[in-house]
Amino acid sequence: MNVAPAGPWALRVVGLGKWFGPGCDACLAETGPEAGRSTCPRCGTVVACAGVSFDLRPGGVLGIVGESGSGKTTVLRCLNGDLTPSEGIALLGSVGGGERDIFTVSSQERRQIRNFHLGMVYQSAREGLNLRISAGGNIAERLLAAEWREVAAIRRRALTLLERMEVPRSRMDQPPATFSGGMQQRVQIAKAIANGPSVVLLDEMTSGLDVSVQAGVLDLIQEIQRAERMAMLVVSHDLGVVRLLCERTIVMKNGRIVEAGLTDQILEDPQHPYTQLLVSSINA
Amino acid sequence: MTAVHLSVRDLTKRFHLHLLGGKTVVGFEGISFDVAEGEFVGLAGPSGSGKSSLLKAIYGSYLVQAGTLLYRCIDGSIVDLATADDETKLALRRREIAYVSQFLRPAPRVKAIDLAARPLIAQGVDEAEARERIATLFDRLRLPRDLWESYPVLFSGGEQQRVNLARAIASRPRLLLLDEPTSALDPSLQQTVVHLLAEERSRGVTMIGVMHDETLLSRLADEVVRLDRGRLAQAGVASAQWN
Repeated sequence: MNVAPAGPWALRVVGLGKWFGPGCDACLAETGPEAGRSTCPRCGTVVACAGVSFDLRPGGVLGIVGESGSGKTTVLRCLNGDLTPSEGIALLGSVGGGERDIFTVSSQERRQIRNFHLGMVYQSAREGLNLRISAGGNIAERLLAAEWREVAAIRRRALTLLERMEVPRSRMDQPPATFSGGMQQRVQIAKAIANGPSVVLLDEMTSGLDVSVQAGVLDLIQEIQRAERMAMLVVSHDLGVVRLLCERTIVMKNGRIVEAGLTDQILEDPQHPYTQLLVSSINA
Repeated sequence: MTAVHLSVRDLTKRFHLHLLGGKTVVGFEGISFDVAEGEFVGLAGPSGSGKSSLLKAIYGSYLVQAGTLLYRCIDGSIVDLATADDETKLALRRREIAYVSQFLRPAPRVKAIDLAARPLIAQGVDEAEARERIATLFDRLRLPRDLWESYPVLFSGGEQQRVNLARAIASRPRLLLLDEPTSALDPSLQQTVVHLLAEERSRGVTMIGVMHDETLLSRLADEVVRLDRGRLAQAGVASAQWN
């Protein structure tokens, strides 16, 4: 399904596919929402996602929703370089004039992209942070990777970011292992945005938090997104999160996009049977 | 002659309910009418006649199955809202089209004044000025000052409705869509809102409003489009209908 109109974009993804296994001629036809499965019955290949295309405008917030195993996190991990996609291209508006496919760059260039252009917030703080070094140290690590060299400037930046994310100054030199879940996620966000990336990828960043803590984290994300005008790709199984943060939403099932549209349209007038089920489940 | 701002032609909305065995429910069918620049068009009709659905289709929350919604933008270009892509609709929502829903769905931890100021700030208005403009509107709508810095999730329906109105009016849209903007207000506040909307209209804002109270509607509307079970029942000049 074609999601995106032409025009300026911060991120453009075309035909992204990722599968685990040898693959065969039947894989694509035998998997997907109509087939109701992601594993090819002939060769056992798992088609985690296929044919995923979308544009994200500069400063825009796009949501990806779907049940566990729908492929939404795979999309993020491919974009962040944690997984190597099987097919497709991805372009960042801020890299190579938007003409460089970030899936095929050298590993050195890939690092550059991660250090300067992309930020990622993982579901588990364990993945995004080094829990044993201090909160400030985590941010410094990221700044050093982006070639910040002056210690005083690094410290100032870390402090500003942590304060914006409402992490008390007194905790800056303590390791996140001693923080609550909500505070760990706030440190992760501070780290992800430290280098002023053009696109931030957020993977279920509030899933493990209780509702009141969730609200606080979402509020800070919104505030920072508005202030910095960063584009965000928000993966969540929680339609409430998407309603709050995202202007547009993509719905995935069994590795495919089944529906895409304005978030209010997806929630108020869902078209696909799966989206109707998803929306009716939360309103029930 | 005043230019047409929005031309609705043969607009049809059907809901295809997959969970109910593919049952189809008609929202509205074959609706046509024009809205001139600066005009207030009222939508009237019994509950379930398709008024709110029509507003949502214009705003883009509902997708239509047939018909066109030709909208004249500020630069004179014409966009068919029925088929426009998401980014075009979003751009129009930021700059030209605002919608006051019947119920506000506020973010949990955003203060009333910030919530209402957001669209303005997104338009590039300086934060202090945005808050100032909202404060003026909150005062006019008699929203108690001690609520301004509180969370609207905790407000009564009428208080939320006023936040919602201030938010939409302050962004100075060219087209304002109103879904029962006074339903949760007492008669005196209803009058205030009618005055406020009349002022906006005299400034040239085009409006399409659903209002249950037909006396209020007749005071604002230049024209009333009457729906009955999803069909156009009657369209004409408001005063002619009421007198």
